[in-house]
Amino acid sequence: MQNQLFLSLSFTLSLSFSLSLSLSLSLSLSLSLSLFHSLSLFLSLSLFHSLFYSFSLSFTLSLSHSNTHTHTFWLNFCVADGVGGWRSYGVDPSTFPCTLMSTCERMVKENKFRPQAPASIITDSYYELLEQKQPLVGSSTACIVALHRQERTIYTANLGDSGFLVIRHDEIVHRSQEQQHYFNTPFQLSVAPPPQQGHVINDSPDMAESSSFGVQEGDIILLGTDGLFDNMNEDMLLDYVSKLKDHKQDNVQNTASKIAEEAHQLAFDPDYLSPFALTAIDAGIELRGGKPDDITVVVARVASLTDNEQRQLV
Amino acid sequence: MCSWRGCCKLGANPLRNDTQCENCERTGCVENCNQNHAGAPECQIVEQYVCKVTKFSSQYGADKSISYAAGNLIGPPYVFPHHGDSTRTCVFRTYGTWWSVAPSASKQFGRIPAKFCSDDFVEIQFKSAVYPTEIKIFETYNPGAVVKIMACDQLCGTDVDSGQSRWECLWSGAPERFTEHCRVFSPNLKPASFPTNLLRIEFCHQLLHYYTEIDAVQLAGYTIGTIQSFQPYSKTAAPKSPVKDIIHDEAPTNGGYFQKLPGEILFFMLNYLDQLSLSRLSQTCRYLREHTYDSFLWMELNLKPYWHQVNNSTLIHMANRCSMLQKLDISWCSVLSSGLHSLFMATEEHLVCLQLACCDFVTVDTLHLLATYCPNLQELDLQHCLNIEETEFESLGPLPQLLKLNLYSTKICTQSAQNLLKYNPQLEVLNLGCCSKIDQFDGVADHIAQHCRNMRCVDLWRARSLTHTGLFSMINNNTNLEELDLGWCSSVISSSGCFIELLQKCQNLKKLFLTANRTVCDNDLNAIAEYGHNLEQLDILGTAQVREQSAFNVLQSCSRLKFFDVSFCANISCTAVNSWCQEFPHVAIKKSYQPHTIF
Repeated sequence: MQNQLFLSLSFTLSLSFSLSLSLSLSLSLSLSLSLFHSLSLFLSLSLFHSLFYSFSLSFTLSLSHSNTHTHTFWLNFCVADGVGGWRSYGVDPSTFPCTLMSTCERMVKENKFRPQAPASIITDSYYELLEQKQPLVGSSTACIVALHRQERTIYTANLGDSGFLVIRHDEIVHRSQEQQHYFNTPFQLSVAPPPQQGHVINDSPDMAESSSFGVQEGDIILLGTDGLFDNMNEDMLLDYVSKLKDHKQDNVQNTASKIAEEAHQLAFDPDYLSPFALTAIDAGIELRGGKPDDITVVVARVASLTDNEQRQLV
Repeated sequence: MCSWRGCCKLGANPLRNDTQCENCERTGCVENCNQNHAGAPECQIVEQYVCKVTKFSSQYGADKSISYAAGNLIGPPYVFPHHGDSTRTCVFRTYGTWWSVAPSASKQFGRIPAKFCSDDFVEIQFKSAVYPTEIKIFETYNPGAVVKIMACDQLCGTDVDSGQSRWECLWSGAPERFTEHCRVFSPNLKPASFPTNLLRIEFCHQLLHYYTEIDAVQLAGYTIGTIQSFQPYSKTAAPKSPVKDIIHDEAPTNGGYFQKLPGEILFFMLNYLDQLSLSRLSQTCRYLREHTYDSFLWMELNLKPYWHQVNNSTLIHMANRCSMLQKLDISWCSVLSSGLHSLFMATEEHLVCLQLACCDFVTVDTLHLLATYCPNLQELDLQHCLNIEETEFESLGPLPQLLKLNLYSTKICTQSAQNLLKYNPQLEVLNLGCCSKIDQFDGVADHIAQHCRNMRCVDLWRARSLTHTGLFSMINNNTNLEELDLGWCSSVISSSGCFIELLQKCQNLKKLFLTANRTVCDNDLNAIAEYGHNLEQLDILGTAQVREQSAFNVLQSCSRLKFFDVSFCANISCTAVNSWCQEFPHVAIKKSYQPHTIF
């Protein structure tokens, strides 16, 4: 029974090469689905060269019909976005978010977390990073969404400028708050080498913003990094999602890919007045065009378990 | 009839063999049996990984952390077949002989059997009880430390005191020195007479170059559908406690030729026997019993090697020969406070050394007993006694002779630690390593500075809340420090100058551990080179601030240096370390590495 994975998963990875070396972020994405506390699926992707990429992923979050299950039933997914500035210190910026995500994944797999408080996963994982003999240097933002199937509720934690939207009937019903110190400087978890200590922004993992929100069948949860939200505004995202006629897996994946491609194109459009440029102007910086950056889009649709799936779980 | 024993070769790995027994169609039957299977007990081979770590003696990782923790034994291997220093394995606190040659070390005592060399253990539980056929230990870094595998008969319960618990040794052997990086250790097991799902693996660190790391343990064996019907456990088979008397038995009175020997000569001869032999000899005749009960033969008693056989009545029986007992080690044993009580009463306050490592039975009541009956105690080891609550340590009160106190990995809190230091100003050696309930180590350090002027050795491993303020007050008042372990004290910042002052003021330092401090820099090493004349052991693992030149200075200047750990120092290359090893052959220079695994 444990081998039956009823979540259909597909993803496309579109790598678009660009030679712009100015502002690059490295990103690691991890998807950890823990079912029954025993079966977990984990995808991790990391690219640490100086090329921007866009990545999209979609899957189905199935809710439980009844309350009869004795097992708690959780689905977790999470993105972490590394800060590219570390490259100038000779530090691979992807190591930090990758290690953070793999530690989060371990916490979930080994049930060392309280799902109602996903922020605790970020906190615990961050402190666990400091327990390594090999000194780790870098910083990262983190955004985690955990779905409780019986409660039909998502519990989220967000630190930094990645974020998520919950879309119901073509409207945004719930969203994360972006956390920034000042323009283009998100809240971040970091470990600095001793000479830089005190000069590097290091937010406590307790700063993560937590929320919970009840979800319904048919809801779309869209999780993305700042590369997405800086290049596409909410209306554009809603447009794409509203074009979804049904919630078949292929269509959802198509939408995710389209959003990622669109964002990637806009990022390199020099005349486009991107949300990033608008905030820059607000901050008194004259800036036009998109923001070249790594882009990750995860689209999840909330569905009910079919009777068959339900039976498999009991 | 095909019983599982006849059907399968014990000790071999039946699971690799997928051939099916023609008659019974059960996979794993290596030798086909030509007998009728009707009525044979349901036998099934189960291959399983650890589901729970029930006990362990020490671990490298912090309390509640998942890095280098004993809990990493759970589940299938992660690092294997790679090798190296990984956070995801089970790692113990020490290795080699480095800790036993440090100034804080205590000598092992008691006439223990030469074979016994276990330093650490881990007790692991599996889901279903089986008759073990194969145990695979995935050793992914510095293998060779496993010396014993014991199986517990849980059907009789684990309570040693009820006499119901039974531990059987499945394998034991000497530690080995291995050059290979990792291995799957799968010794030939003695067949167990009972199904088990609880194993205890003992480790000996003597020959290790560096920490041994265990990734996973797999237990393979046969389950029997209805265990009781197969081989019911008979209580008569329960092993007798080794040092239990047979006072009521009729023993011959005649001592034979022994009686012709002068008592002193006999005493001299008996002095060569280990504890078990002495106890056995006492059962031969009344004459020898009288002489083996000579309390001068029992001034030191070490029951740790017999932890699985010692129970409460052992202690009660020992009491009548232990009136001169000075040193007692009942680490790892499960007894009751009442047994300890009668032993303490018998010792008539002679006891000077008491080791109670990893004893679950030790509670606040035991501490009260200690305070009452052992006023002359000089050395007390309570490491990893988890059943003493945070504030209960104070019940120990003043022990005017106490010099050495080991509270490694206990629940002691800041207030209790401070009070204990206040009560016992004569303390010389203190281990507060891994005491995660102490949240203000600076306050504790202040108390050491204020009250304990004789302090020689302090172990503050993983004292997260210790800062340079606490260290400064200790340095200024305890200038005769010989050993200081500040491993993983990440809040002690080198730029405050605390390490330089430490070396200037405490020039007797023989051992200094600055493991994973990250801020240790060239200036600190230069101070070590200048002032560390007596330094024998130095650990600066995990700092990126140190360059090769300053590490080389240390090697050149500190002529007594024997141990130098520069693992994970980003600016110290393996080439440099290799050339240093040639140039300074008397120094064990350590350079660890991580496994090449993906995240």
